[in-house]
Amino acid sequence: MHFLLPVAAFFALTIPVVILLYLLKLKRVRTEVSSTILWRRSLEDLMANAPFQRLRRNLLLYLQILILLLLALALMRPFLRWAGLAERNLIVLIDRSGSMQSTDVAPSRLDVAKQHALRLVEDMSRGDRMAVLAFSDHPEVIQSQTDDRMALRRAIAAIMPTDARTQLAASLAIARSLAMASKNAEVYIISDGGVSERDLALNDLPQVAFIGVGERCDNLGIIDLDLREGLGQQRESELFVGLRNFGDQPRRATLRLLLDGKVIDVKDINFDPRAPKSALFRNLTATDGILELRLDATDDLAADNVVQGVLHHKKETNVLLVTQGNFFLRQLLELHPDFRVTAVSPAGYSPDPPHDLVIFDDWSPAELTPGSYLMFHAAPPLTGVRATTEPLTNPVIVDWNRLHPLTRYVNFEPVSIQRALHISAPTWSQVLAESADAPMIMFFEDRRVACLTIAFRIQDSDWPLHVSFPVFLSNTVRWLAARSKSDTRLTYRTGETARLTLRQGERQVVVETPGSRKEPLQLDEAGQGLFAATDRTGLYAVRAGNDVVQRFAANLLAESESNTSPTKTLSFQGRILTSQPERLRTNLELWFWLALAALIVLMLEWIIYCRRSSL
Amino acid sequence: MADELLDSAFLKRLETLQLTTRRVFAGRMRGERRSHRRGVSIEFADYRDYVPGDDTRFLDWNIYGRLDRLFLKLFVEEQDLYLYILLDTSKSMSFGEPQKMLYAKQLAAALGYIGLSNLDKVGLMAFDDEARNFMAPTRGKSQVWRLLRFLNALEPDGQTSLLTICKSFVVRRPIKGIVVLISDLLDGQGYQEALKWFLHGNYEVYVIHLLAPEEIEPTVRGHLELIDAETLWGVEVSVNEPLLRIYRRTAEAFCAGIKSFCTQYGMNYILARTSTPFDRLILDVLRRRGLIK
Repeated sequence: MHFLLPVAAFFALTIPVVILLYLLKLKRVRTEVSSTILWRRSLEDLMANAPFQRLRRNLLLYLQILILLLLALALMRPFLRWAGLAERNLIVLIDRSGSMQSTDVAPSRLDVAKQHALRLVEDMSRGDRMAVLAFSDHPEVIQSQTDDRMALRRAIAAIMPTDARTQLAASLAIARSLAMASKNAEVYIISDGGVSERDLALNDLPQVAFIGVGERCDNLGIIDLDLREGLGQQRESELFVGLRNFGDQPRRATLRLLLDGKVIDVKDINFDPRAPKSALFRNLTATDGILELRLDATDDLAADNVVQGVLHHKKETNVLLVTQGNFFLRQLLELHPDFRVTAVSPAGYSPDPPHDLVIFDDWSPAELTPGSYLMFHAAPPLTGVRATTEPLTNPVIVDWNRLHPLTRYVNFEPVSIQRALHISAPTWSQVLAESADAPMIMFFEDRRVACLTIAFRIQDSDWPLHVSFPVFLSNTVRWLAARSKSDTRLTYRTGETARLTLRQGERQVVVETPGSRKEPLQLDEAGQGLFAATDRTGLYAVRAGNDVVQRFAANLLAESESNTSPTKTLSFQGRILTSQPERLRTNLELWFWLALAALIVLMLEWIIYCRRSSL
Repeated sequence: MADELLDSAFLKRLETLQLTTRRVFAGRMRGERRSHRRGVSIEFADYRDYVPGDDTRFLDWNIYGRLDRLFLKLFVEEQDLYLYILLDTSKSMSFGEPQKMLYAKQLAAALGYIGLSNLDKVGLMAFDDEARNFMAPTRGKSQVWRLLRFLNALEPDGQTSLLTICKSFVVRRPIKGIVVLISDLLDGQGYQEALKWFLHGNYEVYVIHLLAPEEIEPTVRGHLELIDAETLWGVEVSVNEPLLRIYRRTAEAFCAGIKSFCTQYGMNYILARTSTPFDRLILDVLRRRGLIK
């Protein structure tokens, strides 16, 4: 037998107190009798000849001592090892994805999961060790292998929820590596299910237990959001909202649209059980601002009832055309309403001020500053890129990348090219279209520069006569320009990496998260940086100094997380794990039975006392 | 006065009784008692061989004619009977319902009345740890008032010392007779050495062991400090059923021990509970035991 609280043995010190009280003189009634001779002889007989009588006289004392002993034992929380191995290595994976904030179990699923984990800590025997991982879309080792229960309790208590999705694969990989490095490994997955990956494998993890949390699903959620730019002159936008009722009951809720805190539209939504719903908000004026959708509903998960987004009024794309005088190209560009084209000659070219896109027509500078470029009949001054002096004559594009967004829908077959540069493409470049002899369209990208190179002049081909050319050009300009602009997405999904582009010169910024956490972020020379800690829903503010230079939003928008139906099984390749909450009891605690025995003995002692007093 | 201890109807019945004894004692006067001594009377007792010097008037010539041998006739001689009543008047005798003291007085009065009615000599001694009151042996019915007055004046007090009393009684060398000791025998020094003194005097001893019912089967319960009425010593007891069972066993053993001792030494033991009707004790128990007839 082991004891979870051996210090409670001090409770047994109450036994001498009881004995002392028992030994204190009882209040006796003085009674005169004719003689005490026979009484004395009786008492002598009682003491000398009947030890059992002496025992019976002290029976109440012994019962009281027994009661105290039982209580002291119960307080020491003895337990018997019920299941499990000696010196186990426990690896506990705790799900902290968005759905774990569901309040169908009080206070929340994550809190219940933490309680389960704490119970595993309490059940640890001497020699057992435990590691704790918290996972959502990525795992985090909260506590490495240790037998320090206090550290484990602190680590588990410190686990905070996220609004990210559930992805288990990486956590299993870590658990596998921990299990391989130790003996008697036992893996516990505490989750409400909702794993987004398929075909997960447990492989050589022999002892894996799944402990499910959650009892019901009563949730309405916003699961999709799309902003479409309008085609009208005022450029009003439309906002598409996807919703769903994941519960079994029909529901009704109000959906409010706010812009910069002011309600601009309200819709009443009637939900059928377990059915999707959509809402469309039209005529959103083209303006910058903070967009917010609120679904007024009382349900188990509040994180998917609010969606925020950052509206970016589509600004013009500044295009610098460096050309000797390609009027045709200039006209094509100027036709586009979003492009503001500035044309300069090669002699007048300067990298400052920076433009969203610089197009070099038949000319290449000695050096490219960080930015996006489109080159016609010129080799970019990049490492490994060389153009021969011998031009190619009548190259025919024989193959092109049919998956790349720029060339996916372009048919180069009818395009005739009279002449082209023979540009050698290094291995780190991406060839989008090639002839038999050399690449015709190449894309070069590193941390500083994104450059699409077309090896021929447009006037040396009949491509402009094809309808694909203006479309290709428009898409290419936008696509390249976007690389030098900040991401103008309305919102990210939690767990996605936000791509930040700020004005050049800023190297160090601070990203303020919705939870008021301040994360420093180092930007590159191009003023770009990637921020991956988007695990909470809400608005993120990018600060350079004291100024907010950019905002972006992250939202749950995940049907797999909004669907809070608890699952009792986890499916893996070749194995299905069923929730086994009883696995938490690896030790059979005996305190309840000891306390019950103490209560029974107490009742017996009371009965005996009453009977004696009534004699 | 007699009605306080004995009612007149009961007295009438007592007059028909007389004390008996298995032993015949040498008295100074010829009373209405048979004696085992061979004396002159009309009642033939036995024969013995003639020796020269015997009174030839008592030769049985019929036997001589038949057996040609000389035998002398023997006759029973009559003499006085002394009754000594030793009455315990210690404090312990004040307990009981009815009170042991009263019961003892009634008993002494009855026995004394029987003796006096039959011209026996009756003497009384009241004692606790020493002889307190003494009534010298007297004869005749006219002394009944004196007997009763003596008894009425007795009050229970003091401790018990049987040894002192028995010893002091025997060393006075009273004339042999019946000794009736009426006591609860609750003497811390025991009874054995005391009663043995009676063996010196060749008395016919009756030990009437008088106990109240609550002394045999106590009715007290609970956590008590019992105070001895005579010694004033206290003993703490938690009276419960097991202890009571032991007490009853102890009381029985106590009485059985006295009975065995008395039997062993030729004394008569009578256990008298005060719950036994007094007349039944006299008319039934004592008669069966041979003290009266």
